Amino acid sequence: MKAQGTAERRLAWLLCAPAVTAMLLVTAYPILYAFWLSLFRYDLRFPQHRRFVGLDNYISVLTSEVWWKSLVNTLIITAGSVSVELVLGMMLALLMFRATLGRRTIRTVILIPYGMITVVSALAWKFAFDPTTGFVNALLNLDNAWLTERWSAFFVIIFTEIWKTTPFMALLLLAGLTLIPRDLISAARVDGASAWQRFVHIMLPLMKPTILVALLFRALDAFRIFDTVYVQTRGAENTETVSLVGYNVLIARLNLGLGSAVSVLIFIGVLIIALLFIKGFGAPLTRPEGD
Amino acid sequence: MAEIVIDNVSKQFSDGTQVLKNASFTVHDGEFFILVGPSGCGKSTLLNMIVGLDSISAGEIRVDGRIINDLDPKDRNMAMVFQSYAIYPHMTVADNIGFPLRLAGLPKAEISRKVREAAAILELTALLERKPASLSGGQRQRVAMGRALVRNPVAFLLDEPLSNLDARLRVQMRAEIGQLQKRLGTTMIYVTHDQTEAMTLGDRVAVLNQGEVQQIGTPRQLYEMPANLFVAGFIGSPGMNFVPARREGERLVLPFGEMALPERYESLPENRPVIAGFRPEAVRCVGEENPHELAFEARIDVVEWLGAELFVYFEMAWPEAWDLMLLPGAMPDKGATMFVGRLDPSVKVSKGQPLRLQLNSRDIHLFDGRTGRNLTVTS
Amino acid sequence: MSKRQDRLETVLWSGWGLLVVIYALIPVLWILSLSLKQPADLNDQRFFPARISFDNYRAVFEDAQFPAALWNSFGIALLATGLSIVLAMFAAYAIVRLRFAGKRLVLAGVLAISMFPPVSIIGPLFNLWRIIGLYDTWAGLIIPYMTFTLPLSIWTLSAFFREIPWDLDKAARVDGATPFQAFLHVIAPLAAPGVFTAAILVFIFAWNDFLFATSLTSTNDARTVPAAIAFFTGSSQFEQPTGSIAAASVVVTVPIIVIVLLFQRRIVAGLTAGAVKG
Repeated sequence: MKAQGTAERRLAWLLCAPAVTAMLLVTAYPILYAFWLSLFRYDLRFPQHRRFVGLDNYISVLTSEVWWKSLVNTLIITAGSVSVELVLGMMLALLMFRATLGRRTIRTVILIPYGMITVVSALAWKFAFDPTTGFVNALLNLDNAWLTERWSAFFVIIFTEIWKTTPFMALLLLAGLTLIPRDLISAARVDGASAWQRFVHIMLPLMKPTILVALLFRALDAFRIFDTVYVQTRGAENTETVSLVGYNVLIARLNLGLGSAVSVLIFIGVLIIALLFIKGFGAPLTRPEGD
Repeated sequence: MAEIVIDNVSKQFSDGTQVLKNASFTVHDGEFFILVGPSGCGKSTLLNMIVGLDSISAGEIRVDGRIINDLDPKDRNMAMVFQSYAIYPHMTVADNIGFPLRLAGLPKAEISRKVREAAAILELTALLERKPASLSGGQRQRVAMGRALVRNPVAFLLDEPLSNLDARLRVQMRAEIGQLQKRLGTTMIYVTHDQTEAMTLGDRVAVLNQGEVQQIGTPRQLYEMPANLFVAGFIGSPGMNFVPARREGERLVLPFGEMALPERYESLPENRPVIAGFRPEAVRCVGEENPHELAFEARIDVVEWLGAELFVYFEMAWPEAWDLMLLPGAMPDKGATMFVGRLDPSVKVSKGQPLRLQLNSRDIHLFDGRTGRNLTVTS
Repeated sequence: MSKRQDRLETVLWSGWGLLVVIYALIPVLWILSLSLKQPADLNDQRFFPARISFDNYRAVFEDAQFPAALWNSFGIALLATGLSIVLAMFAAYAIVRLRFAGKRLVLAGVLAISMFPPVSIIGPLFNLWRIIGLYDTWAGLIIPYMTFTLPLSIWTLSAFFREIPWDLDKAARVDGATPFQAFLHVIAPLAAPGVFTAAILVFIFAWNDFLFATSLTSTNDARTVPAAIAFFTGSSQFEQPTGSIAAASVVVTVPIIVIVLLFQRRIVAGLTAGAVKG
């Protein structure tokens, strides 16, 4: 028995080793390396000036207006898109749950936003809102230069995000919905619950784990937003997000030391959000194992 | 308290399948009424239509004279126990039982009092604060009953409430449900596929098959005067034996013998193709022979000795000509069939042994060979 | 519930359904219509093109950049998918089938990676790739794609593997199959749908990525479509590349639409398997 257990353990580790190694090499090692780099003044344009500066880079980031503005911007986009996605996604999920006609069609078409390349959807909406090429102004009889003003630019960015990711949210919520035994909903009807009461007293509480997981993943995703903002405004009009700041410092300005400090801070931000969900709302991330 | 009238009710799904055809019957106030039939016979659909979970394609359902076809379930004040019990997993037992009252907007104190009363009746008091996940099957069943009876509904509807329990618990809960209904005196409609439950619990029973009501009556009526082949085969366990037969003069001729024509079938015309049915309990070991008795010899294939009863299985064959008169499909078997007899357990019999058996003509039922109708019941 | 109410609800729900279809298709139709517009009509602010022309498509394919990016995208996404799925299959098998002490650790690691912000490591990777010569190569993108899709594929595969009646291989052994035959004829066919589903999701991820593609490539050697489109320039400096961008966008959206149409059921199952069934 014992020998068998050892053999099984060895096989298990052997099987997991490639995946675990890859993940450690491409994430854990670089993030540690990023932390290491962040302690240096290191600008690739002036590599000879590289020297250890301790936490100076963090101090520069945390005292810069750019960082805090971008953090606020990121949180605005996260809150704006995720909250609307939850409501819309829930409506969409209920629609797919109830619809008898065309359920298949609906499921198929909503996968198009999910599958479409983010850059492409950002460009499509950018052109749509563009005052010279776009149809939105013509449709609404407006004359807005959407992407050249901060709040309307936020609107376009958030709108694009919502368009792209609501289907994903809806599918997750639909899966949660279908896990509710139909009898429970029928029983609530017989017990005298109106449609709204059934939703509030039965469906929502039973879907709580699904909703939390969906919210957590979407919130983390939105917090890391890069593609849409890069394509639509490149951070102009004070719409820069933390990922954009990190990218600009690292890749555009080649300042590895400062950029790495930003990277580490974003990593910490993600950790905080995840912990908030897990501890604060009790998101059930400890998935039941195997059996 | 309510009288429920099902008036010519039909149900057709949007894809055209007809699951219920012109069902009509009345459930009297305070009656324990059973809907029984094999799976897919439409009994659960009918129950869902009564409670309002399924729409009614045609016909009317009336409660105390009031048409309720278009009422939402919440306005029907009926309580239902689901096969899966449908207990809300996120609520405690007390919250589950009190849920309908909470929806009705009753004050907290009153809800708590009524929940306590219901719990006391069902011996759930000690479990009130528990979550459903920690309850046993029988306890869940009680919670579902509690949620049904707490609100004083006009009727209880139960959809196969015992089918998820093990055999022993099923017998116990069956008795409890029966007692409970007598005590509360509330109209109860109970759906089951199990004819034993139907026979033991029901004041009256409706037998359904393929969306049609086959017969409605007391358990005794169904057993003694089954309206057709289906009811005859479905009620009673094991089911009735069938064999082709015909009248010759004042005699009834079966492939393996003949006897006097049973009195209640005296008007049967000659040459009319019929199917004779007899229950396993009508088969006896040969005693004194007389003209009313048909005696025959059978080779026993299987013996089931259960202590209190003894079942013997034996095959009997007949020439093809007997089958040709019957509607194809009217009889499940052609040319030969396996019969069951329920004998006195003191009889000593073993496999392969020939045994002389006897049937009395008063235990014979005759069914039309083409329609399957019982020839006494038709008229 | 009355019959009339039933019918009313059906109509109502169908109406909503139509709305959803429009919602999903508008940008696709819009970019298609842009791509078919003649350059002179690009600024007419109309949703549908007045005159149809394929000039934009011709332009996009005549330029060296886009065909190269398309080739890179397909190659990199397919290779990353293959690698990710193979590694994930090993890990998922161990997680579902074997008992070992570190299982929770592996699962926690997988979960952590799925939340990991890619932007946090583009700096180090950029530096590292430059040093070891992976910058602007296929491998330089395949490695991060493979890694970042591992959580997705491990989860999806684990969810599917859990549903497989593994004891069937014992039955096959009793029936006289060798272990390899049992795997080939019994287990592999049962596992194939899950593997395929995971592969679709991984491919969509790799196909979609922009951040790594812009950060770790610089030329046609390895630049993928999303990065190429974002950096499109017109054939002349003064020309707006809108038409070309639209045409390129349509070309890369078509495979996704085909995949979605063909494998709708699988994608939905895969997306939700990892997240809800757990």
